[in-house]
Amino acid sequence: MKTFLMLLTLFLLSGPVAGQPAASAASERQEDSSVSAQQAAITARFAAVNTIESRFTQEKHMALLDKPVTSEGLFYFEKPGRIRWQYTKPFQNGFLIDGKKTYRLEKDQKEEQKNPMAYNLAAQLLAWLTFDLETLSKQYSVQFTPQGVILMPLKEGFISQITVTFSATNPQALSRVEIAETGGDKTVLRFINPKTNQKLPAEAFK
Amino acid sequence: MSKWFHWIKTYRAAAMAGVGILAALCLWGLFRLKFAESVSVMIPSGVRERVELFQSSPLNAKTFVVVTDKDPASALAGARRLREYLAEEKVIILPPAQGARFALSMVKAFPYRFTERDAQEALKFIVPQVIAAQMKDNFQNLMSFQGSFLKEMILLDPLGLAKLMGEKLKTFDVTSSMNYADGFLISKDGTAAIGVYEAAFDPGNLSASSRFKEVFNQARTKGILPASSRAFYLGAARYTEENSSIIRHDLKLITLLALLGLAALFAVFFRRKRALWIFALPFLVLAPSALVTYAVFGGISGITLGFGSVVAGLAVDYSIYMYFALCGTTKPVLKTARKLWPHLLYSYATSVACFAALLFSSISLFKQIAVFSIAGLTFALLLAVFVFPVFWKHLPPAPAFGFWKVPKLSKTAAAVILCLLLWGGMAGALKLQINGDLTSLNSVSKTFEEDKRVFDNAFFRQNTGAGLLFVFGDNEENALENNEEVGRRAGVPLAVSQVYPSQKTKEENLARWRKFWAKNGEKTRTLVRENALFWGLKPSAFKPFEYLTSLVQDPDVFDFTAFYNPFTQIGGRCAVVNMVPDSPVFSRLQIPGIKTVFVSAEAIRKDLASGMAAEAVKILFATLLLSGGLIFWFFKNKRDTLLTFVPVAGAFSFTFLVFWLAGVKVNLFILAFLPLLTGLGVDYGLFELIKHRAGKSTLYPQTALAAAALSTFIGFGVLALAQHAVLFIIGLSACVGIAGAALSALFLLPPLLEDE
Repeated sequence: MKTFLMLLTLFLLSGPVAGQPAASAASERQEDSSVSAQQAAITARFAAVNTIESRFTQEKHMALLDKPVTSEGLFYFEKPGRIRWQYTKPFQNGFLIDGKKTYRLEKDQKEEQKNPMAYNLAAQLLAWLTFDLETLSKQYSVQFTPQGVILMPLKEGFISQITVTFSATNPQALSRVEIAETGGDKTVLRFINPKTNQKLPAEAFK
Repeated sequence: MSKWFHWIKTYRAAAMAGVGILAALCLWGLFRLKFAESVSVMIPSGVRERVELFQSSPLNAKTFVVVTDKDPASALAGARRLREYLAEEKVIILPPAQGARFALSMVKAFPYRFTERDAQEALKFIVPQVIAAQMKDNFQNLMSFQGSFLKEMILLDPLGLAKLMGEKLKTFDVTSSMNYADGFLISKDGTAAIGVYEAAFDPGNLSASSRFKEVFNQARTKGILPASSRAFYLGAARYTEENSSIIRHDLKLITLLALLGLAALFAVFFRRKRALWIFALPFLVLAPSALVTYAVFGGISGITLGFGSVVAGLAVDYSIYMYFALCGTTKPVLKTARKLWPHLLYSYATSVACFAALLFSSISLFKQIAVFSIAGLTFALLLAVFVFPVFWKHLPPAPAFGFWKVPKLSKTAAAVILCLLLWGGMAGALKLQINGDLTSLNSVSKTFEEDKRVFDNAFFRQNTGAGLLFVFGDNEENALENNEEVGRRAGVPLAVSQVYPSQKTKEENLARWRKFWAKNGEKTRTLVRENALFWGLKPSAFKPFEYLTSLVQDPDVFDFTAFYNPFTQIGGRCAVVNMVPDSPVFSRLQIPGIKTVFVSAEAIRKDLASGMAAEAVKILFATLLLSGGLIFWFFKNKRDTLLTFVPVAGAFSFTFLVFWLAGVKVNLFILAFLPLLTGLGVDYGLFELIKHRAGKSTLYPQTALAAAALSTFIGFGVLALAQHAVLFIIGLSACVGIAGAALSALFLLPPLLEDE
């Protein structure tokens, strides 16, 4: 069932990609040279990130929940494509890509996801967390704010807006990502003490 | 004849102008012809239905875009970027986005596809412990990163019944060993991502296919793909482009080499301006022949016209014989032409008989070739006898060549060599390898072959045993009903019936769904509510599930046709296409009252090979019978008739022997070559026979036969240098066959013709 739900996730995620052959908004954005310069600067800043290590909290605000649910976890990233996204509370689950294979994490177990479709999820998550503006700008229009950026989907879908706040202490890291949904639900990710370009623990991708 | 000669002699300029105007008019008409190409006209009738069905199968019209990379993630990312780019450039049509609506409609479609087996399986989903585990899983998923995307799905289907529906769709996967990600088929090791698209153009159209190629190549230069990735595409558009580009390349090379060869031939054998008429003959003959063929069939294939070079090679012989007969003679042209007339007529009649044998073939294209060739030979004979001689008065003697004085073989030596040749030919014929693969009729580059190899490895490696089962009906609904019946009779439920049930079955399935939930609904809904409360979820959020399992359901709006459209129209009837294993269960399936046709690459290959063998026997038998009968009627002598076929035997034996020794695989175009080779062989045999009967007459110099053979050899022997498979096999057969025929006629036949 988990695999099947992943498949469905991919169906859902694929919507904006497959359904927007001509993103005219992209050309409009480029008309503003100052915005382009700002975007280029941010892109260059985040492109220089080789590793990220951070704790995070995740708040889920959903109409179907009696009260918001907060989860905690760890996040590791290493260029070009290693990532560990692991919840530690209230469940111990997540996923891991060690550069070659994708695994689903469940407590102390890891189960290989042979289906490469798991890369879809990783690509989406990676684009947000490493702030890959080149990829993001294909799916979202980008508005710059003093604290970060606001991403608006180019096509109607589950997400109505993503607000990204850059870390005040580390310009190459994010401090907060808020994903607002069209139905009113939202997810807030907060990154605690994000460290970039530092040696990661050996067990990070094991 | 004399009146005609007198008239044409008096009005020479007018005659020349008339011939020129007629030729120009025919050429003008030729350029206005539209060529009709279809592989079905090239194959025996027994195989035609299967091939036509295969062509109309859902996957056949698609364009496959493949991206490979050692890194699976890069392969998928590259495939995704390339898809976006090709869609932006409007050369492919993307299927509708498989968003939330698709996923939800899939679950809502389940009640209409709820089989007895599903009802049994669903019981396992409503056990309290299973519901508890599933609800925990749901909660975890909702709380995870991807929870937002799954929310609606979980609220509609908290039990995970979609898995049962997913299995029905999974059986559709043409490559069950492959994965499916974001609309791409992924090879087992993940290193190849294959997008299957509708082309936004007619893939048989050359300019549209060239544009696709251009856009595709630009994607590489624009850096759409990661540097480590490789991309290519396959499908009808690629075949069109490759064939065309190879034919263009071949035409340039062949024309150049043929012109050089013919210039050399002219320099050696003719050396006079007046002989140029011979070389103008193909241009004068081919256009009117094409128009005649077009008028008879209402269309003409480019391959028929391509066969023109072969016909021209044969047709030019009449003029060569006439030319050399007139060389050095002091007798009036009319008298010489009259003397040569019987020989040319016999030669013409036997050649026509050989090509007429193609009319007995069940291959439509061969009938076209027969008419085209007969028309061409007729025009060539008329020109050689009634027009050209007027311009060939007082020709000086033909150049003499000392090296033509070949050692004369004894009768015994000739007989022994002939026997050895026949033995070798027989062995070669028995070992002849026939290529029954239809794709062998297409010509492709080495890069294409490499691409195809990569594609087959990724896509078809595990599916070589797959086939297509076509189940017919009067309309879509009837075809679906028949498809269900076929599944029942075969004892194997067909995947199409699982996803595309008939209306009657849908009603039965819906009734089964309602009955199932009437019995188990309340208990299950209560368990879902209790578990929801346990995890802090509002029970009311699961209303979509309660609606789904109530007695009222939304209409079935599930549309899977963008991914797999099983319907095809053939001959006014509708057929449902099933992808099935190539097993006797389906290949030998026969159900009274329901028409089914099983098609697989292997079945077509076998049918084509046996069909070709049958056609070859039929054509060869008809060729030999018709031409042999004519020769016997002309000469009333069994021995001479048999001996006329010595060059034919030599040609076939030499060809089969060489093909066997060189391991050449022949495609079905060798069939068209059989009567041609017979015609050529008989032509040379007749020449030697008439020369022998004429005694010391100067009408039949060996130089004439050598020049005729060499002109034919050069004319289309150069095709052996072509890359195109069809042109290559014609050229190679010509080289080897003409060599066999000419050598047999020049060396073996004269001693055998000697009286005891």
